[in-house]
Amino acid sequence: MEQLERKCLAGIDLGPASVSLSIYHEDKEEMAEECFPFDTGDSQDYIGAGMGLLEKYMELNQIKWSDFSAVFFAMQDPSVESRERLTSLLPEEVKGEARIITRFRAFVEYVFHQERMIWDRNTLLMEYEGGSLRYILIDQIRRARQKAYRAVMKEVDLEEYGIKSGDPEQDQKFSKMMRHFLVQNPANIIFLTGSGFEGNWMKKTLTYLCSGRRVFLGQNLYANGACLLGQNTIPLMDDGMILMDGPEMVYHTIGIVSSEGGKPSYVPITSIGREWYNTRGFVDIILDKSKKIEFFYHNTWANEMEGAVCEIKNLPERPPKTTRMRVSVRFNSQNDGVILLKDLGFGKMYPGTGIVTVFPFSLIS
Amino acid sequence: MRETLICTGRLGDHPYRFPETGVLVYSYEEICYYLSQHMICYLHSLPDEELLLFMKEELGLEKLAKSLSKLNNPERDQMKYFAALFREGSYFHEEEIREILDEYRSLKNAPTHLQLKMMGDLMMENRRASAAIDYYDKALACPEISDKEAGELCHNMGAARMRLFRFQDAGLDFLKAYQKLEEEKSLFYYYMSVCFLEGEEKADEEIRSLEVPDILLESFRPKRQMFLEEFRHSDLSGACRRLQFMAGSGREEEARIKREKQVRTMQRRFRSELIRA
Repeated sequence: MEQLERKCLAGIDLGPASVSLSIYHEDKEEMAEECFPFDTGDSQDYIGAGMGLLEKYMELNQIKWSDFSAVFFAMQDPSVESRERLTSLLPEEVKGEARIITRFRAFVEYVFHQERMIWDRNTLLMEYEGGSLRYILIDQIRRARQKAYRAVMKEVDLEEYGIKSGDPEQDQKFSKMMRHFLVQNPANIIFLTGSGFEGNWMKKTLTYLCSGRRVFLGQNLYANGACLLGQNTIPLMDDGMILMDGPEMVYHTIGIVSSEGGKPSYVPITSIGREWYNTRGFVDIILDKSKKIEFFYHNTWANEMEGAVCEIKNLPERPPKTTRMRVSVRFNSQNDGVILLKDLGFGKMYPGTGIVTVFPFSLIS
Repeated sequence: MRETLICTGRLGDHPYRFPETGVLVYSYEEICYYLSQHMICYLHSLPDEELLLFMKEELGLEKLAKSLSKLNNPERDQMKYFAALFREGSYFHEEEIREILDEYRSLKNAPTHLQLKMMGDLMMENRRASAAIDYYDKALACPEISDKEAGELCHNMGAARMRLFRFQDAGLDFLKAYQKLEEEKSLFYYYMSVCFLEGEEKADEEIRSLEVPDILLESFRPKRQMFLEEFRHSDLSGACRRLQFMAGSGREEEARIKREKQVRTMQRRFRSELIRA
């Protein structure tokens, strides 16, 4: 009997100090993890070095890129240059398939893929790497039946607390800083990651953190999060219930107003909570007598709405309601993008012309 | 705030063909639009089960298909069927749905010969001349029909027979229509059908024998010329001229292959005209 095709997913975290790999085998229902720190000279081109280490690992373990049904990369710096550099190093068979996300998103994916008690209360990630401390805090911002969450990514100024790696008073100062921090940002679940936490220097800090809280220490969080995203998406994120406040993240939805049960209601075409380069959406609409479509841009952060009218030109004369348009939205940056409207016609009765109208948008608020 | 109409379900990869007219549809909206324009086809029946299968498998409208499958009695469930179908999405407003259903009700209450004439006209619009003739025949057989209505039916019947190249029968229909309506258009088409069969001279003779004013006959000639001119500028005529030129310039084999292909296309298009009601 022919064996059924099984899914094998890869999540890869490319950081400046190491590359981590998580592989999920669907048939065994288990996750394999690996982490490869770089040599000191590799930080110049850490993407190249990381991909080189990965290739070696895969060769040794006889793993091919084609074995993966999906590959997700988490990057600390997902700038255009970094993404282009990574894409240029990918083999042809995964070039179109691989998706790149931020570490911020990877952590949020990791958290929301866990059981409810991990994310239903405030969850915190502290990343101590290269002498700087970044944190991601996920808190509930709406406690109604349909709950909503906000994830924030910021950096803590360690100099303010006089914290230095290798300092004999590092533990004491760090513990003091955490006390201040947790008063302002209460959290019940804390994740610690990064090479800064290694070296067995945390004693007071851990004692404080662990009192009444659950604390996890791990180095593969981002790779795991990226890998889990390959398994399935988070319904809360698909529904736009997670507001991600960080660089590269989109917090506007682009939508239209449609009639639902006779009442007008806002229908978003794109969702929030993803990187702008991973945010896109489409919807098919029917043009009425008028050839104008009004788009609405909803700023979920400030709960503000602005509108813009797009007029479609050069369409052939057709009776009302016999023009189907495919509306596709994509972002060019966090605050601007383009709406493409393609004339699909109305089946064989009124064939489409394929004319595409380009409507750029800029999000001011 | 301008409202936009969002499509329901997805676009089908494979279309559904409405058997009465041969029209292909790919989406829920196309089904709604088609049905709203062709309610006359469902005075005594409901759309077939293939349509429900199409909705379920191609458009992903499983729930709608399931609820419509329960409404399968053509006499009792027609109104409920169309109301449920139109109300599934937002293609029609409530007011529009009411208008369509009111019109449907008045169609159902219309005299039989009128319903049959409408069906015949619809068949003509959809290149189904044989089916149209069947409907016109049935309508003419209705006892309550007036002379004016019979005249209109004869005229339309003549037009349908012209499409099938049955010029002699068509001529007789147009003549009958002229006798009942005394309308110039029926007489002109009678003149044209005689022209096709026996030439212009014979056609002139025929018209004179009907004792119509000379001025009327005089007006037919330029009108006929206009028809011929129009055909001369049609795509088909252009294609024929290209083939002639090709054959005359030493590319006989190529011209033969193209001609055969063109004939096959015309035969294929003509086939629908032969489908009976």
